[in-house]
Amino acid sequence: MTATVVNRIREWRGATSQMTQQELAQACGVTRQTIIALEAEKYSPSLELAFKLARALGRNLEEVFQYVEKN
Amino acid sequence: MRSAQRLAWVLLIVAGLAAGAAILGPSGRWGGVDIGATGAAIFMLSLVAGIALFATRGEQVFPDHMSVSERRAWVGLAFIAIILSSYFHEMWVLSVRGDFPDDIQDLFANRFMQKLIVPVIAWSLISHLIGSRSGGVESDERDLRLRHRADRAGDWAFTLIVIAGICVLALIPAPLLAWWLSPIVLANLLIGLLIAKSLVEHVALALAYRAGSA
Repeated sequence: MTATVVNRIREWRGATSQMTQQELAQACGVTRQTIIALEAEKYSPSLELAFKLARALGRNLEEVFQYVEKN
Repeated sequence: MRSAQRLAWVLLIVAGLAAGAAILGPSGRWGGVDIGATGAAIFMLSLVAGIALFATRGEQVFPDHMSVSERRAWVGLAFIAIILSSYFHEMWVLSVRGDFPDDIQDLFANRFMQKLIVPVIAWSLISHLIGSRSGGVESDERDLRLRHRADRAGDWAFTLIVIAGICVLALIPAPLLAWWLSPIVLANLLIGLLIAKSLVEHVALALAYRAGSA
């Protein structure tokens, strides 16, 4: 069994918050490239960054990130 | 490809060829031209042109999707490759001539150290210019994680080279070791070890950024 962290950053950023990747990056104190990597699920953020992202998107942590186990 | 990127590629190729001429042909002449001196002069000019390019159009040199840290990683890789090439050449020249200085104080006065000064200054300036043009966050936790991964690769390379060195020393007869392994030779070999470790770190970092995952 493998587990992975999936996220809905792109969905919440675009559909609800209308933020650009650069704006979200500035709000969280990271580079735009990190937002790109997160949205492509090539990078799992630290807990601190995960909370910052959720707060910047106006969501709860579990609305943005899910821990998914796969067989 | 933007004009600044094309110019950067041209400068990189010219600098590489010039460095090759400076390193491999210090005493060779072609058509009455001192290849080594000409190569060194062109290499210095290309470094100055590179600094000017980064100072005036630095934000256009790399693709937009690259972060400041990634840009610095690629610049660092280019410079460390030049430094390692210069080091190997110096070691080869000194070993062929057999005129390693006897005094450890001569280590920092030898030609390799003198050759290091300009590239290191250019490397520092270009790295600074890359950061000053960004206007945002220069590095974050993802960059640190990638850097940590690259450092581990460098540590592994360091360990493997040291183990290989121990094996070589164990296999060489003691009289032969006493003939060539002077303190100054050992100091130069240790410098090479540090440069090789740095090269592995820069390669690993550049590849990690290229893979786009942490």
